[in-house]
Amino acid sequence: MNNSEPLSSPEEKWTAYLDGNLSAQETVAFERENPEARAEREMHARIMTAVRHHSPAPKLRNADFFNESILREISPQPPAAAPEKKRAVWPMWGLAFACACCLLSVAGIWAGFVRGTGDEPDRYVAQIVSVTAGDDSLDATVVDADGVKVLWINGLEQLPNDYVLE
Amino acid sequence: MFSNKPAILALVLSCASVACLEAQSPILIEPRKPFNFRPGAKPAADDKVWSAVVLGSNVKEGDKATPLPSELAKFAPQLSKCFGYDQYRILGSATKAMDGVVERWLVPTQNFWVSATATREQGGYLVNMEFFHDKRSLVSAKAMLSPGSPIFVRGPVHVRGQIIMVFEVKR
Repeated sequence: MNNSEPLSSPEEKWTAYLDGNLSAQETVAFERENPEARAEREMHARIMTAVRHHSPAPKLRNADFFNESILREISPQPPAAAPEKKRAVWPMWGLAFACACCLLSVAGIWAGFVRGTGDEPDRYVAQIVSVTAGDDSLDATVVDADGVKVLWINGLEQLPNDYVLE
Repeated sequence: MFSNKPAILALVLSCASVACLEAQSPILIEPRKPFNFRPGAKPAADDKVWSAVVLGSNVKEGDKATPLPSELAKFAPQLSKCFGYDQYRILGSATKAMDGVVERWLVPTQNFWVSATATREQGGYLVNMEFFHDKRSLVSAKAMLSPGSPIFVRGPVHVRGQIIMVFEVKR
């Protein structure tokens, strides 16, 4: 027999004998032990011939189905497509812009309302705390003329025409 | 690059806000409490008080208006609106160094003068001033002044025009 392992059961020996898988010595020994073996073998050969003759093996439409399946299974799989990244609501540059805008706003507010008290010689700042007319015949009030303070004195007589001003 | 609409919108709104803030001049709020003073310029050791007598008048037909003196040029709109004259001429002026203790007399003209005492307070000057016409006191006032912020006093009327007295802390 071709297999290295010895045939243990009579069924296996019979199968190997009928399939022609026993060596010459084993065949001779098997036929010696089983005198009807030769006849059985011839019968088996005739039956198989008849079977092959009358019912040939059907042609498979996809004879390589199993091979293809196996090759497909063992072939290296293409890398799975990376899942589409979820678009961030505020990407990094957007956050940077937002921060820049906030800083700009803070700087503007600071420049407009806080820093406005610095050295600004052109800025008019005057506050009248109290005003008192010189005598009872006069009346003095504070008039705001577009931000400029004017002490308005009522009750003054007109100066004579010949009054020297300079 | 500019595909993020919220960021662009935020940028535009911020720029617009800053532009509005910068375009608008700082709001001057007259405080109700005395001495809540925010001067425009800090006082310095060499500040002076300046007083002038100004004559406001209208231009006669055919004449050309006298240009406003440089000391009053930046207050031209207020002068025109408040007093309503075409031209303003300085009849006389006087300048004295600041002294917080000693009373100073400024005599811009022979008929009009000012008595002033100025002390530094809260970054400005607390000025006690009294305006005189000859020997008559016209008005006395206490004011917080920043350098470059004059106070105008409407004096008597003359046939030539309106007498206006000016008092200012000068740098």
